[in-house]
Amino acid sequence: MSKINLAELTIKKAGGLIHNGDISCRELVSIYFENIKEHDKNIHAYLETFDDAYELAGEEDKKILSGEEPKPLAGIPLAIKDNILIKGKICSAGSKILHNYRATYDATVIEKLRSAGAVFLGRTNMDEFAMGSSTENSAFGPTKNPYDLKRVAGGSSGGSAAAVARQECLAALGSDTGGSVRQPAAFCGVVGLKPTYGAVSRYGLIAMASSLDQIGPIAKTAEDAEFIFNIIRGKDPFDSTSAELKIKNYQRSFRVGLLKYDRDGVDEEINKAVDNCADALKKSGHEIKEINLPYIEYSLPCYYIIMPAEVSANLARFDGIRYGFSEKGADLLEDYMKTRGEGFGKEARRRIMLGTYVLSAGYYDAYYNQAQKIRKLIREDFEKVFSEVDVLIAPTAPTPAFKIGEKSDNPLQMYLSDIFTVPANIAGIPAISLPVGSALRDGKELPIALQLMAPWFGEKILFELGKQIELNKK
Amino acid sequence: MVSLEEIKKLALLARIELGKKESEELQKSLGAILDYVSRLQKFPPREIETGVLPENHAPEIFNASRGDEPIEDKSSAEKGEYVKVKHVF
Repeated sequence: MSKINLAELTIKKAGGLIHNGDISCRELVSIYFENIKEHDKNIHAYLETFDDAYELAGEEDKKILSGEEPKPLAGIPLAIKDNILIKGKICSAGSKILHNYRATYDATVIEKLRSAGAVFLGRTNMDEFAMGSSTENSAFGPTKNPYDLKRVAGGSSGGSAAAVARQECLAALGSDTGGSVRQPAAFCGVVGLKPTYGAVSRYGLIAMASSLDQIGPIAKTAEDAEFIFNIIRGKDPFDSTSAELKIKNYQRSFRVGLLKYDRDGVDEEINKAVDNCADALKKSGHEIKEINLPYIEYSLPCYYIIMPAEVSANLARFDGIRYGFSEKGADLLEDYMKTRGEGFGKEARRRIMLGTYVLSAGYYDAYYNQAQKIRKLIREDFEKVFSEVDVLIAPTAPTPAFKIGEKSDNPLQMYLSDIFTVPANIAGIPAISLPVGSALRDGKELPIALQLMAPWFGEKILFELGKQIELNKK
Repeated sequence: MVSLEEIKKLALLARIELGKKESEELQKSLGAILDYVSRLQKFPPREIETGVLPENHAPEIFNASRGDEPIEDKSSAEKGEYVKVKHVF
């Protein structure tokens, strides 16, 4: 077995090595498990690793040895966020209330990856029920940023992003409700895609806010993210919001919209990275145009009404009777109160309470209904803009990774770190976060990122432009 | 902005047992969050059609549920013709 440079390894390269017989699937899995053993005690990206990964890899090896054409993801080691069901494995959504819940079926995305030959190394840490921007809300302790262990990995898919960044898997799945794939990808220096609402089936994803949730890949390159996306996407009879992607033809040069935003609220290095990228794109023949979205600033308040409203409804099913954790009281009502009071963490309790408030009689019109109206306006804003440009460019997050504990006592401050990612979920459009450099903080080089947003089902544009931006970086 | 009485009521509606300290903390943080999201209310209440999901590609589905017919499903907590559950009232 030749020595492999994991930092340079991509899905495409690994596929080539396996194809040529330079390495077996089993060997590749064992290299990653060694790396997990060495590094995961420091960053805590995984909640559990799966020993049956060796068997799955061995099966792929056997098929290849018997002369079968290797499957597209044969032996590729992936990590899966802890809110996506894998049959027979615990799926806790980072919560005490589901700590012993074992999935009874495969999520559609898992089934698709499995038939493509992928191997699942384990389930990754996350903010409880995907509620958070730092992974500090996990009931099982935070994930640390591989670039600075004193800082957060981002969230809620912090475990998946950190695992990819620290070479503890080749790629991973996350879920993105308000930025939960893109922001941790930005903080950890990897690529994260939030697909168009409906592009990927959510059957088997533990629901947080159903009009916003999407499963997306976290990978090292735009090409790898595209590879995974093309395997998991498509219509699924088990998710009525899913749809087939109509891949449109595209030109080599795009009309790129540079989003106008409050530059004072964003770290200097990130503003500069966005400008540099726009300049580089202009030089390579793309048209650059400044774009103003008047309603975009209302995305975040809109999100913090709609999301908790849906959370309070979706999490009503955790009653101590149907799933996992249960605390007994004197009567049925007390059973519920105790189970939910103890089983949910602090942030989950807060969002359920907030959702209950905005949906309650007397407040419904002022909050929830109003938010739905504003959501429509935001969507119309994007529709208009995408008749003028093909793609938008903006920061992913206003700062690089912040320190552990820095925002955990101030929920509103934490929410504001989603300011650039939430609009894509509100409108349902696809967006990708790409690493574009670094910023020095406390003597550590921290990754910074920018974000591309495309019209509905315009993922292809994101990948093409993403690849060009990666080339410009080199 | 939110009274402790309201927090108590919400907790009961949400079926979440809360301690005194957390109730007070929630009074503060929910107040701050509601204050922040209230900026949406400055928009004039003009008529905006919200009946359709913002995601316009979801197909319309009619009567996706099965017919209302009894099926043979023996629950373990069954007693005669009834299913056994804990006292509700």
